[in-house]
Amino acid sequence: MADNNKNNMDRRSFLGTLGSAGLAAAALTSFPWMTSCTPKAASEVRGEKTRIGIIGPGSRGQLHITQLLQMPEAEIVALCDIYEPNLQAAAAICPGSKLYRDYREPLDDKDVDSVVITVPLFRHYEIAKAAFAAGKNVFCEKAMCYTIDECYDLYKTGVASGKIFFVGQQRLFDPKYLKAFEIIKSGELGPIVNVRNYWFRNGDWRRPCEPEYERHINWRLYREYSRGLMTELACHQIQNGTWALGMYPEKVMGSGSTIFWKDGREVFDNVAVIYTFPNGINMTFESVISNKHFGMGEYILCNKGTVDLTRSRLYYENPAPKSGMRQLLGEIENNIFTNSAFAGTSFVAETGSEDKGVSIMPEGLRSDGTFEIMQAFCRAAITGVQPPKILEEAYYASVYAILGDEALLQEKTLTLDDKYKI
Amino acid sequence: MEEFVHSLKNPAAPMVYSAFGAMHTRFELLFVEKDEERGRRIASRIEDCVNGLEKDLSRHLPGSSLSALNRAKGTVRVGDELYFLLELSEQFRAGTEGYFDIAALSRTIARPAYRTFPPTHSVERASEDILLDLGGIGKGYAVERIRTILNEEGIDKALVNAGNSSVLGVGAHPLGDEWRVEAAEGGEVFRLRDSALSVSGRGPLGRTGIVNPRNGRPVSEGPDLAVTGRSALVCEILSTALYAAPEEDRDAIMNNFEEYKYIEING
Repeated sequence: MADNNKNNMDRRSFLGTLGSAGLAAAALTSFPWMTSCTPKAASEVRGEKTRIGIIGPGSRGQLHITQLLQMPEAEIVALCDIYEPNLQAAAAICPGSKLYRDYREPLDDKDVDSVVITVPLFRHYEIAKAAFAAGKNVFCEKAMCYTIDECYDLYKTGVASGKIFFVGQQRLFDPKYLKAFEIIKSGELGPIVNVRNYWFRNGDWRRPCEPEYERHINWRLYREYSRGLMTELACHQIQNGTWALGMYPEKVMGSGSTIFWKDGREVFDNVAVIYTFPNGINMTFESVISNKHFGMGEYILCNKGTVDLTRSRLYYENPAPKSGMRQLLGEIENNIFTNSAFAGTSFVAETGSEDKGVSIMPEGLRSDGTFEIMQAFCRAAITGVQPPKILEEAYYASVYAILGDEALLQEKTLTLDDKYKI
Repeated sequence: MEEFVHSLKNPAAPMVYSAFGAMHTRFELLFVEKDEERGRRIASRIEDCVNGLEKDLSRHLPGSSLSALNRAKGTVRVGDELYFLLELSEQFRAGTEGYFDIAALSRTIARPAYRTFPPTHSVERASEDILLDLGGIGKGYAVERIRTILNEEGIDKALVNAGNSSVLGVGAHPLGDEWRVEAAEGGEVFRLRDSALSVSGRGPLGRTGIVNPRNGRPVSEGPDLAVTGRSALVCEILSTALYAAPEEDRDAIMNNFEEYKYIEING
């Protein structure tokens, strides 16, 4: 409970600053989709709710349910899954909701305004398209779709529908990322020179299930349903490059293989991909799931500093030493006359590589944007106003993740066809 | 300027703090000044001065006067400032039993390593293998130049810090009779009032840039040494020389410099 309170405080504090003078204007220019997170946006929807149906409440869907239950803007009215254990687990969290076993049922339900789609990747396109046809607002988990053609068509469909369309790229709402990108875009750290992403785990990525549900539950491992590491992990991280640079990659190349988990899976367990932007800057994505030493990392490398996005830390190329003189100033300000302990051998700027960096956001902030993006979706569903740019960011994240996977499969350097540019 | 702060939080002591990078380290200034714009102008003037010195006197910058001298064949005319420092360095080499030597990094042991010609301010190295390096005098000289600027600007209470190893107290602390600077590792407290402090020894990674001119090898043992006295320039020269010299030679060196003291710290 204490932790929840702390997170809520942190979240309120951060979102509060968006509504204050100074940061608000800058933040909303760089992150226009945050319009739905301002105190003004909250006041506009006070007392109103969007009625939600959850389609596919597996682990991710159940996380959304627990968070939606905390939001005054949301009311979960329907749950739908073809896998009975997941449906019952969701019903236990959210009793009283209507239970459906075919996705068309909540789409036909007039009590449902909005749907949250958390089904395996290969079904995103079909269900989301049907949802727009039924007049629903759509929150679809990432990646947007299985193919680039599907992404493009669904993007067009969503826009033409006039309904709200979000894809679960929660980093767009993560306070750590927003603050970091604000610093990067200020130019304080000089030009961006590289973007480095990696995600290392040591596990088979399997979920326990009865044999007959193997492909249903472990859909991430099979090509028919998933593009593995590229759509499940890279999709989040490669967004960093386009977000930071304000442009899209020109080409992508890479190598993928299955080196350790040779258990019948069809997706790679080891990938290394390089995206190159029109200005020559490279962005890498690496993932191996048989060694977790490096964990997850996302870095924006600038000429004057490096931002560690996941840990919310900033490392200056030439960090200032801890200054005894600065401390002395503070003491004089407080009318204190005492010794200043700083004399020693020369501080040498080049030793800065051992610098431990500085924290960008308050320690202990655990929000990753999942709550915020869902709340923004609910508010948008109530007002009927789609936040600017959010769909475009998500579209390109998905498209370039898919293009990266195609580069691995075809063992070629690929570029995105102009017809898919929006 | 990397940092500039003007603080009026203590009405009895309106302060300026500024910091900038130069000479491979960080310079910091703290002085009493009520007017922010004036404080900023003084801080900028000081930064410009130190940057100018580095451009002229660094052996690491290909365009510096010192680099030109290190490349020159035969006699070469140099600017007044460099000429002054070269003459001074040779005098201090003699005064420190040879342990302060701006030619210590050379591949030859020829001494004197260079000749100076006063009428034309020209210099000739003893051989092309002579490499002159003002690293052991540059910060101390820069701190003295800063003292001059502060004096010209009428600043009578200031603390100047060049990378924590060269410190100058101008006048007194605004709330006391002196500036009290303590060794970073604790222990010794140096009371500075119109006086300076220089520390030489191994750096944070256990390395030192000081070379023993007698054998050309880096000095890698012994506790750090602190020298206090009137001039930041002399303090830096002495701390460098004393760190390079064997313990038994130190008193002989110090006998040449009245009113300067040294002490081992962080031992």
